[in-house]
Amino acid sequence: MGGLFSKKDGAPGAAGQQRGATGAQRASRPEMSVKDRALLDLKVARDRLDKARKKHEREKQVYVDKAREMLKAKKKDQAKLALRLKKMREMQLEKVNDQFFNLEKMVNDVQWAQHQVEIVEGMKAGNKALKELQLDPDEVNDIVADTQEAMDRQREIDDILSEQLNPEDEADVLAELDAIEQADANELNDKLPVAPSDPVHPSGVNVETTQQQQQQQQTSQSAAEPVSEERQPVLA
Amino acid sequence: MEKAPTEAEFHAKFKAFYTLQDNEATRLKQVRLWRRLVLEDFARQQQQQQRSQGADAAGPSVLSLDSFPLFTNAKLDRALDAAGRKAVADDLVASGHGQWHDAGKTLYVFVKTPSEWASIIYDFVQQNGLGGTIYTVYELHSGDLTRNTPIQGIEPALCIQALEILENQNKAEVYPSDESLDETGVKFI
Repeated sequence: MGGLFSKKDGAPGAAGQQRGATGAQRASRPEMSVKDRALLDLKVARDRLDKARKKHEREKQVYVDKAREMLKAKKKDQAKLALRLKKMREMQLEKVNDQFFNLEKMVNDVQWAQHQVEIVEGMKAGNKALKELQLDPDEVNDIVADTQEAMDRQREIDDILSEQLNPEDEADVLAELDAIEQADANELNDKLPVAPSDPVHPSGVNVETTQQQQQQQQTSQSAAEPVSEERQPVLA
Repeated sequence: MEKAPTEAEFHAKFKAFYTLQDNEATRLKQVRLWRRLVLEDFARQQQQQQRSQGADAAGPSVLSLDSFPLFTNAKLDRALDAAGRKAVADDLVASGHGQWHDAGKTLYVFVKTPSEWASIIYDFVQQNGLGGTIYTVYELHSGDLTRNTPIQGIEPALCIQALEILENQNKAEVYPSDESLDETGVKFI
């Protein structure tokens, strides 16, 4: 218990041998692939550089602070020395930064290359699947033609059958249909009110005379008649 | 400016808190409150460390049974005795929040248990699509990947424990290194 933390184990190397604090023995760990190993080593190297970089930064800051202190204490030479050391550290830091950048770039390139491989593998698999699923266009053409033929044949048969069933009745049916239509039309006609056959009034003049006529008629006859003259049948 | 005291802090103001209770039910409650008190204190410490020194400098949280200040309350003139301290320490270990460094004397304290970390890390991996590539533990606690996330600054040994939990759940593969904990590799599935 406490493989990683226990004081007795001391060195961090215990992690590799002791199989960690959970205690449980991991049955068999799959071996790291070559690619993973390469990437891991690359990252470890980059991490080491990162640590070195941070250390240099800290030391540089120490010298800056020291220089400031020396100036305050009026020890100009000491201050100058501190600044020179700081300058030296800065140059070292720049080199480390460049190397770090290179390693970081390499890590990214390797990861991107791995992704590219995966993408291409994916495309290959997709391509293969697509090819297997796709139908042959010639086959499809044949099938469509066959289907069309069959449909035509079926229609022919239907026509023949329907001919045999109603050869003469067809004419009779049509005649009967016409008769019914005519009867309906006549019925409708009877229901319609009669349109007056009087000439349509031209604007102005005859209206007066008509009105006069109306008045005369009103006095002599019943009210319904003149109303019917005036009224035009409304056909819906 | 003072925040309202937590429940554990409230109980720490009473003398009885510093005497290990005989009654089982009461003792259970008492020890649990002690656990909360310790974890709250360490959580506060860690936050302060992170704020002032940044992620690199934070060391592991160690509880020394002899010298942990909250075990003693000068105002009340009371201190938790050795049996009580041991009970608190054992409880921390049993609940996954602690691990003996020097058995009986000093204890590593985990504010978050390894299993909690395992979930946090796995969720982070899922959300950011980190599966399928290999990473180092150093990258996880100090890399750009985890800047300004809760994972930044995690203690490497604690991180590895969390990763091993994920391994047992078949969510990750851990490749230990012979050189240092930071160089342990991990690939998430």
